[in-house]
Amino acid sequence: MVATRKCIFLDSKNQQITYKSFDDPAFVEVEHEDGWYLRVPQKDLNQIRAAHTTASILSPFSFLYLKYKEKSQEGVLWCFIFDDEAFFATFKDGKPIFTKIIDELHEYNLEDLITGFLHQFYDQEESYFIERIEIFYEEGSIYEDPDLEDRLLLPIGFNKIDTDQICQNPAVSKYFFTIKKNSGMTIGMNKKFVMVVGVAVLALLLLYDLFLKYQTHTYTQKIHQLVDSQMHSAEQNNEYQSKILRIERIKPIIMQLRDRNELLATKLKNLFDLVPDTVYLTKFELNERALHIEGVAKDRRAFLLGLNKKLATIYKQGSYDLKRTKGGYRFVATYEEVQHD
Amino acid sequence: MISIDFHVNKKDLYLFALMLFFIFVTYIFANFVVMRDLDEYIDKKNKLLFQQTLQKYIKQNAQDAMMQYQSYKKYEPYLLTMSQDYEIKSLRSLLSHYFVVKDVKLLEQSKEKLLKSRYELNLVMESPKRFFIFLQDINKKAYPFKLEYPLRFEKADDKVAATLYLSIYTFR
Repeated sequence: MVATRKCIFLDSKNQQITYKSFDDPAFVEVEHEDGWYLRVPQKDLNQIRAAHTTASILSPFSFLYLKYKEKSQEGVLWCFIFDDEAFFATFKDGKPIFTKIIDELHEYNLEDLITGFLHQFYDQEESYFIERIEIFYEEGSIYEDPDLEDRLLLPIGFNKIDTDQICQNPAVSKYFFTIKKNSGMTIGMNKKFVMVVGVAVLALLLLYDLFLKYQTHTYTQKIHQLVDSQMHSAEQNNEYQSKILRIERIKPIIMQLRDRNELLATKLKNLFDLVPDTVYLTKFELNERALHIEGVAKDRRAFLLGLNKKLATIYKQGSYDLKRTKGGYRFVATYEEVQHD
Repeated sequence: MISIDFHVNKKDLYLFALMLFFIFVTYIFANFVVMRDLDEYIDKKNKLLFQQTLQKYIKQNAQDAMMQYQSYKKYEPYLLTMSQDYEIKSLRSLLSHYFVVKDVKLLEQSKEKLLKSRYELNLVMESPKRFFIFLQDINKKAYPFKLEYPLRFEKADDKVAATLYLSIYTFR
């Protein structure tokens, strides 16, 4: 089975004819043999593609060009009419000289359209004398007016076209628009897009790498700072620990001697405070658990009540020798603490 | 039958090659430069985290040691006074600030944790008050002195003669 190729004519008014190629991703171009281009916005083609999924798209101007090449006639006004639109073109040396698209055809009659076009065409510098008009049309687009030739004074060829037949022509297929697809491999992707995306990805990677390098550098500096700080803290810690260890070693002895000295001071002070004004000490010997005192008291009572009695409350055992002398009562006394086992 | 247009022209192939080139360059750059830097970055980050944890630990230790040291600070002057040598001459000199020093005798020395030197002191003072000032200063100035029994005071003319026993603790 041979697939029947279907095609449709492009009815976009945005078709432009240029003599050089523009690398514009928003447009689709079709190159023609004699070095001219037909360009159409991509979005117009997308709209047609959405309505006709698989049909190939051909510009009426490309079709008229083919007919011009086929018949090899100069001085002809080529006209293509379908639906509600008319496409006019004049060619010279293989290139379109002047073209026009008219829509809403029902508002005009064919004669006015042709005369209007001819007036505009003859205003062009490159215009030439039109000797014949060739009209191609789909069935039902216009009615053939046999008197039109007489009124325009030009021979007119009315050519009814069969679109399906045209599509089978291999010469036509090379002027089909190639619609850029958005998916599948890289077909349709344009150079700028790839360049921009590629450079952007590389730039992002480079930026990311720079960020990593910067962060790594910052972290390295922070680590150095921390190590320095740790060294300082460790040195300080060692210093403290060393002092603490040395102090801990001597602390029991320090406490012992401080306690002993304070105890002795208190004990001595208390004992001296007990001695009344009427008693005069000449000797005082303090042992750990005993006290030996010698001295002179004003009278017997001064010693016994003023000193001996008080000392007897501190030292449980005591003995004294009291003798009357010239200056008073001389005493020798010894007191001892009771041993508690 | 469905027919599909699949036009591959030179321009598309060029773009495809360009894209492959970018993918290749990106791969090389990512694999040999970015990944290496990323490894180094992660390594440094982990090291930093470790150092930060260590820092906290060391700081806490130093703080604990400082707190403990603060409570021991009152004993610190003893480290200095215990490092000094208290020979008879220097001891006489020190005692002469408080008393008239008649005699200083070293009785014995013993060494355990510290060197303990036991002295007999024969002193003369104006009044027992001088002795109390001396006792006060022992603690105030952190002298490593310990008064031992017996303490003997005797009237000599208008002064007081004292025989005291003093143990001195030093590091050597």
